[in-house]
Amino acid sequence: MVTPGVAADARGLAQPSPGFGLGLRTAHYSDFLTAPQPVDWLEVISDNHLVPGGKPMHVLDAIRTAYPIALHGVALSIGSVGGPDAAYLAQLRTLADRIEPLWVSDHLCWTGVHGHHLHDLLPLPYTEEALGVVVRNIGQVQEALGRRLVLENVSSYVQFASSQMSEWAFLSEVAERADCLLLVDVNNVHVSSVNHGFDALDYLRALPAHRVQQIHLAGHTDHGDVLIDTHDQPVPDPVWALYAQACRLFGPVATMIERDDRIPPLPDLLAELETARCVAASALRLEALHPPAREAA
Amino acid sequence: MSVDVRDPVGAMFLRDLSDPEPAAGGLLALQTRMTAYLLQPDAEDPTMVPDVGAVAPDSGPASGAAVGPALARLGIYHSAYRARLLETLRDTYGHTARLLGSDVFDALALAYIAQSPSSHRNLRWYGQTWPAFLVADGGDAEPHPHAPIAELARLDWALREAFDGPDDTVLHVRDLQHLAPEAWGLVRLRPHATVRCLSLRHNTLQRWHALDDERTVPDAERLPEPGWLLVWRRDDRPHFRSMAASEAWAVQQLLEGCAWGALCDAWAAAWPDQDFTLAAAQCLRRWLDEGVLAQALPS
Repeated sequence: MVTPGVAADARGLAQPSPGFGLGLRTAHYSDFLTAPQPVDWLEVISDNHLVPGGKPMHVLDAIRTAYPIALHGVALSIGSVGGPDAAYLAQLRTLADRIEPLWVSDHLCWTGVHGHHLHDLLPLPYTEEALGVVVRNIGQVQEALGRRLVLENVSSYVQFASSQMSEWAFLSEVAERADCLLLVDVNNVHVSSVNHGFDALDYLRALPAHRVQQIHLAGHTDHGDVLIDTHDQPVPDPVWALYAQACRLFGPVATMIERDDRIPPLPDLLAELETARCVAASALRLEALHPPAREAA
Repeated sequence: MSVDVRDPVGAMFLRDLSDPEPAAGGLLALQTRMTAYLLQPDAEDPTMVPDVGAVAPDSGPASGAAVGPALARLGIYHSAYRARLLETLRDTYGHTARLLGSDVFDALALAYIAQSPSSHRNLRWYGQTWPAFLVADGGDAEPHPHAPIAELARLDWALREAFDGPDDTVLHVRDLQHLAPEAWGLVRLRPHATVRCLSLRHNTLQRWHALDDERTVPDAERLPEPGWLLVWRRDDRPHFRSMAASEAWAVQQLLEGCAWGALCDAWAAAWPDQDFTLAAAQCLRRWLDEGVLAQALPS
């Protein structure tokens, strides 16, 4: 489908980068309501605001007056065979009409079946069947929302034997067939690469750069034989290194720190965001001087 | 049947041979099976996932012995499901959790989670039936062991509902000043959309305040007469206060859409020992001062 009102940037379909942002968390509401903060934009969990009213809505309205906001969902279940839930899409559309977000994102995953909601971002088998389901569902979502969906890769701890292609091949094919955009969670790529033994750079190189709208940076927990995507730690060195590679591959992309637990004081996250600015600037300078060899398409 | 397969990078798989052809509904079958696994109580029980197999990246050829690592990886999802619901219950039922202590609360909450899979897309709505579960969990014993806790839990839930309940207008004294005397009989005073009445059979309010003040919580005691609580949201914050039985009755009349004149008439009949004119006027003034009313509807 064609998405109206979305300007493409020089890289292709994605909107121009608004810069560097943070995931807005309740612990930092007062910081943002009482003083200007050095962030270019904020991301909010849309599901936290799919409520009838009250403080969650009023704070969001107030912060929206000062910052551009991206809506990030966790319950779309784009991989559900039964298709996206019409009532949920209507709620999301109402919220998007109210907030006028930069974009609306959710995850390449499924979250339940047969009326059970598992409240997790569960991986899909990378099959032709799943590809058809996800592409069909994204079409319905984009139609309902009147905009391109931004789809994020998830961390995973298992893979399915029925998979017929790699996750990165699947994600790229989804993006092209569904004409959607991508949110690349660099931490998730790193976590899954360690858990499943693939090269994280292979993953990034395979993605269509012109569709990368946003990047997430986060931390994880190392359990020895498995990395768990806890998003409760500072961004670790391997993720910074992979982010630098992502910057060289994708160019300037909207980047944010996504902290979901053990939320530190805002200045700690702002310091991490400053690191992200430095890493990106350095990588883009390097890219300008020494563009890496690209594999032929 | 269980088969373990290694992919080009030697990763872990969940093999589904009950539906060998992905085009023949394999995705739904896989999701159904994985959901059943995640909802079963025992993460180590492979019964619900008979086709799980695993190969660690540096292990040899697949074998039945590799099921353990696969279950361990699946167990991450199994634990996460319970952890999220438990965290939600702890957050929603904060006073209940503090009163019971984490060990007792968590044990009850995990039993509830096992019995009540989430049917809500948004975690915000999970746990509505927790107070009823507490009552049912206590059986028919008298005095009921969990009834006072369930009452506290109902207040926790009511305040959460008020927190993000629907926005509404607030009726002020000045809004009623222009009302003609003859219009008062038919006017309907609509309560704010977040207004709820709770009945109490125990000293729950006393225990709640003790928890807030970090004082020793008194033992549960049954009240000689039922008590009443008014719950609503004002200035973005949930509020509650106790009410006399007559005020609770009047609020319930308003919630049912009773006109002010009919309410006053019924008040006089229901509470013959009260000066209903004075009592109704005092209640009205307090409701207006506290933001309990939303709108005056002519008829």
